Amino acid sequence: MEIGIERKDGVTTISPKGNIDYVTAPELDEAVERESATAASLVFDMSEVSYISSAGLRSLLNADEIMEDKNGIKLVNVNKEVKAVLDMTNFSGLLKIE
Amino acid sequence: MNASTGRTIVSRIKRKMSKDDPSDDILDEIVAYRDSRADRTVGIIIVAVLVMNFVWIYIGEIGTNGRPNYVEYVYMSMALMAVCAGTCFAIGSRWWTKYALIGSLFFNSFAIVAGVDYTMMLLLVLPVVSCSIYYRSGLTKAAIILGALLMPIALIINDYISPIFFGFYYGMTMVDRALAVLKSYYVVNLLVYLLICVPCYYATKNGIDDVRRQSDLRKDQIGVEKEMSNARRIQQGLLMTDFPCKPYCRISSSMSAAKEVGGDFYDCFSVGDDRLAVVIADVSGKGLPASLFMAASMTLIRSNVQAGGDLDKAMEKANRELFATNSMKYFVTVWIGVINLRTGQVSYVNAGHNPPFVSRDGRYEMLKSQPDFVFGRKKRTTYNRHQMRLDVGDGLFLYTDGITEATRSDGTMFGEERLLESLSSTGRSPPGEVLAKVGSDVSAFVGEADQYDDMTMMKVDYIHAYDIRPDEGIRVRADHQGYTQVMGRIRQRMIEAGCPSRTITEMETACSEIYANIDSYAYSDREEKGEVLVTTDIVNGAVRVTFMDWGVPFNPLDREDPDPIASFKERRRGGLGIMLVKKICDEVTYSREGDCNILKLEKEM
Repeated sequence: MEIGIERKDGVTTISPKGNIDYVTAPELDEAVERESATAASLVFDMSEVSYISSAGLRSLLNADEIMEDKNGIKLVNVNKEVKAVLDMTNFSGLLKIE
Repeated sequence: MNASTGRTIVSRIKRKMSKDDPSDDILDEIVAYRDSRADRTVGIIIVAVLVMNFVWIYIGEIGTNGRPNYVEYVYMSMALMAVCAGTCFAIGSRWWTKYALIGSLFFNSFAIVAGVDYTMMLLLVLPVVSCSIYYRSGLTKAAIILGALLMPIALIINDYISPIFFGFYYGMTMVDRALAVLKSYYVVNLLVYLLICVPCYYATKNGIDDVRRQSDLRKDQIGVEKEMSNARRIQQGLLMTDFPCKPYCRISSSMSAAKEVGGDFYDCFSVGDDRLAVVIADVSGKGLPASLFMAASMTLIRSNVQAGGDLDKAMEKANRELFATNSMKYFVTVWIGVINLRTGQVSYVNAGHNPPFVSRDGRYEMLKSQPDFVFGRKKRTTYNRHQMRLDVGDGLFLYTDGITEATRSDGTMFGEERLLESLSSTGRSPPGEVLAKVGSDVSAFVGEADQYDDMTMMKVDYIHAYDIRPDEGIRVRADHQGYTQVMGRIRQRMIEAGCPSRTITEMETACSEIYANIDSYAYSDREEKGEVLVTTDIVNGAVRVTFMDWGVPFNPLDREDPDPIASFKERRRGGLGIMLVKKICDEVTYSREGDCNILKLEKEM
């Protein structure tokens, strides 16, 4: 999976492209771990994610926990399909989604 | 005048005589009509005769010339005539009215000649002349004979009762006297009488011939009408109602022709195994010629499109073939769409026709495209093939301009906006109800105004993707490499089956979870990972993905759903994926057969 990274004023935007599933989620975890060291907050640009599985959700939850003491995480450009999954699992109430 | 009763009696009598020949009914009908007209004419003649009688009375001719006793018969006859004519005007024609009218005329003429003035002898020709307008040679013949017989009787009576010339015949016997009177007056008058009767008789004969000819013409006309209604039946037969697309599409159509045979048509036919063509068209012109052109257009479109190949090329070929037969310079506007029942992909060509409406999620919108030139009128016409896609549940509403141009008495047309409004009000109703609603809205709008154009509609709902061939499945090692292959295959099968994109994504999510589970747990007891077999099928409009593995017995559905609200530390790591699968799928079943775990996921398309 290709993951775009953009750092600006302490805000790092992570843009995964493709599906976030049990195969690709570890790559996302890696990226989060790497970026969380320097970033004040993480933004996930979900515009190019076609679907996300539970493994991907766990990655997001991990990121949220890691960033808890800083400025947290935020999801942007969430498409219908991903939003449906977030809703089904009640994650939409747990994560900040814009 | 009430002709119908007369007609029934005449035809009843005639039918008894002529062994139920139905063509005689037409003759009877015309004869009855003539009779009623003739009755009226004779009634008017009688009124004229009455006026004449009153004039005679006024100038003293009748009152003083005749003997009082016999003059009374004149008054009686006048009364009878008045009653007959009055009755005839009041109740209309009956089979007996002509006899009453003619009889009363005879009575009056006879009474005048016999009781008042023998020089009026030729008055007895009046009933005969009146008879001739009835077009019944028997009646006229009888009247001629009756008049010829009544003349001498009246003459003799008149002579016998006349006081004036009594002395002249003095000494003669009664017989001699009668013979003398007949000789000097009757012979000459009889000749004149007969001369007048000749044209009367021929007028009657000619009248009968005319009636016969008229009835023959009418019979021909009925033949033509019958042919028209047969043509209509054939046309209705061409327009099928039993469409070849069950169970993939639900189709309704309706057509009401402005004239007996209309120029609109619709069609629906299979193209290959998995495609369905829907056509709606409007031939310029109406009646029998338009319907013949319609049949030719329909056949050519069907045969060329069914031959396969690109739709635009097929339509261009059909256009050239139709043009070659088009000596009347007709043309057709056509909208044709070919639906791929696997994918919902629609190729369409619009040859100058009204743009159809697409229904999606209970909403309607116009499917706009630049229309090409009308069909069948120009030899080298190029057509453009457009593309659109129907998801399962979407539909097309096709119509002819008879709907949008249905006109109210104040000149306002129904129009596309009202049509859209009417369609939108139907929401997700099935095609039959949609057509009924639009039909009733149009007729409510038009009200009493005449319908000048055919009104034809068709609604096609794409309800079920084409069942794809049973999947022999894909068998891979249950690892990451296998994952990519399996997911690609599942996705491809769902696209082939024409699944809506949302269903595809959701099923991909669910399958991803299941595969991840198998990868993680199924072969955890051995060093090398085993295999997984995955099949993707469409069963009754639902996608069914089946995973089979030969690992440890493991039912993922047994796990409890996690509580996502609980804090992360308390959260159990597993179970989230299965919860997602259960929410996405309509049905998830696990079974263990032998040493095989079988997990089935099903979701409506």
